[in-house]
Amino acid sequence: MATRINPLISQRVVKVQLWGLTGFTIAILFFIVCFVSIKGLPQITLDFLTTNPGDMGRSGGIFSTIMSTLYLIFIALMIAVPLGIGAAIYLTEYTRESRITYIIRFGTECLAGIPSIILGLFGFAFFVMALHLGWSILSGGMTMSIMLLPTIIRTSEESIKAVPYALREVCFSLGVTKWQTVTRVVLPTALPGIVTGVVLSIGRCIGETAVVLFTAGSSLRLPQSFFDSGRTMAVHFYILAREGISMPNAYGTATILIFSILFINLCAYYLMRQFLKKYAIFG
Amino acid sequence: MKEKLIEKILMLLAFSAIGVLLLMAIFIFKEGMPIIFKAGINNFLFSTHWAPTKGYFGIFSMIVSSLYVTIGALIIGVPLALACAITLAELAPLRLTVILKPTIELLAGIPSVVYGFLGVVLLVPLIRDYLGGPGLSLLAASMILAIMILPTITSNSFANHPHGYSKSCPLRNYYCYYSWDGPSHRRNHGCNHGSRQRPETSQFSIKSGSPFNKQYSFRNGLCSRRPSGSPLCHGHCFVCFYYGL
Repeated sequence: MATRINPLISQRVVKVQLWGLTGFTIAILFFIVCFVSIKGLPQITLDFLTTNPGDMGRSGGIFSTIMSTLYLIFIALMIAVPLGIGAAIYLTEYTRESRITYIIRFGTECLAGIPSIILGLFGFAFFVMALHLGWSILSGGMTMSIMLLPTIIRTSEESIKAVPYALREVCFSLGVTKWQTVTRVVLPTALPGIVTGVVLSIGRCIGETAVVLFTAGSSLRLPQSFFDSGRTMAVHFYILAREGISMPNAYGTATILIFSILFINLCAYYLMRQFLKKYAIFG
Repeated sequence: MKEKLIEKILMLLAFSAIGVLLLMAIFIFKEGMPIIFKAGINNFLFSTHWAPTKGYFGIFSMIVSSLYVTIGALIIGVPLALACAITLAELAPLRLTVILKPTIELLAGIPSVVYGFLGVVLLVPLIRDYLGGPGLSLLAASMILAIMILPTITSNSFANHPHGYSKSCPLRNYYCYYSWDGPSHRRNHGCNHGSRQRPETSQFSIKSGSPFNKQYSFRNGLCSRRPSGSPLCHGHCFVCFYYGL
């Protein structure tokens, strides 16, 4: 019969193990960020950020990629935000919990779970080929908006639900119509939460490669219109790294990517805390 | 009257989510099914002969390597993530948790291309030097995937923390609880998360390259089929397409 290990000792051993593993995990994550930054920061000068890539990316900067990324985000948000907020308003304000809302939510969850490369291929088959939009920022933005839709619907729903019912009751008692309540009372109150969701989805958008690669192409020129092809930062990084074109530039692009995403997520956290602080009063 | 109109418009917007999903499903099935039926469903799923330009569409090796990579990522990632969740929830003082938890979640935001790139640049040479083989391997892929699913599992396990348990319970019980109860379906979520981390796109085709027992990750098959618009490409492109769904 085996002797029983003293529980205090086993507790201590487990504690050491857990702390060790946690430290290891956090060390890995920090290492990743530091490694990329150390290799990439020397690359980042004002020149790098404002000149176009030349010689297939071997020299020059990443200006056109930054602009393509911004255009893409703009289009994706233009489509996804009204759609998402409208859907969220419908789900929370205009219907009770029923079969229909269940189906819509299920559809949203499914959309959220689709691998991004499938979205990219669908975008290619539908927007680029079937609708004859060609490889363009427009098709890239529309495909990207499909990817952002579930996030925006979910966060908007949560923030609209968080608005206390008392506000709506007061509005109805004053004779305000439903739509007026929504636009003038509920939405402004829920705005920080909704904006957090939008900001988080921008962060996702920046890092997305598979979706954009198949729909927006990889042309290095600055896109002149929304029907032009353009290369986003993530795609540029991927191509530089995969083809081994220019490691220093790749690291520079990666550093900018990481820092912009970290910055955006920090903004989102800050906004979320503001939102939570506001509702601490309501409990 | 205007209210009714607005309600209808909003309902349309709400149904757009499902509409898009249906559109995707229809499109993908429409393009993919003919090829699958031409190749025969048995051949498609269970044959290892993949030569799309010659008309052989057997994706069994890709299914198998995807399974391996996912299981490997879970084996490596889940204990690590659970350990983090437990320390953050139980052992760490509140001030430390408040700093560490957002940090881990922030690091979930790093684009997956960067992870893949670091895998190729750092992990693959290490594996090649110390463990032999070409370095591009399922092991490298599993490790990188594990790091990527880690924040998801940690934050979800943390959210499922059993706040009602008394503090005098031995830690061992907690570990079992975490392993089997709360996070079990979170593990599945992490599993989905892992198997759909396509963004390391071709970093994987680099990492689980063909020398390793001719087992391409099926995602590799998907992403290396970069559509070139030619009719010949469309065929096998949509085979992978359908499979991916």
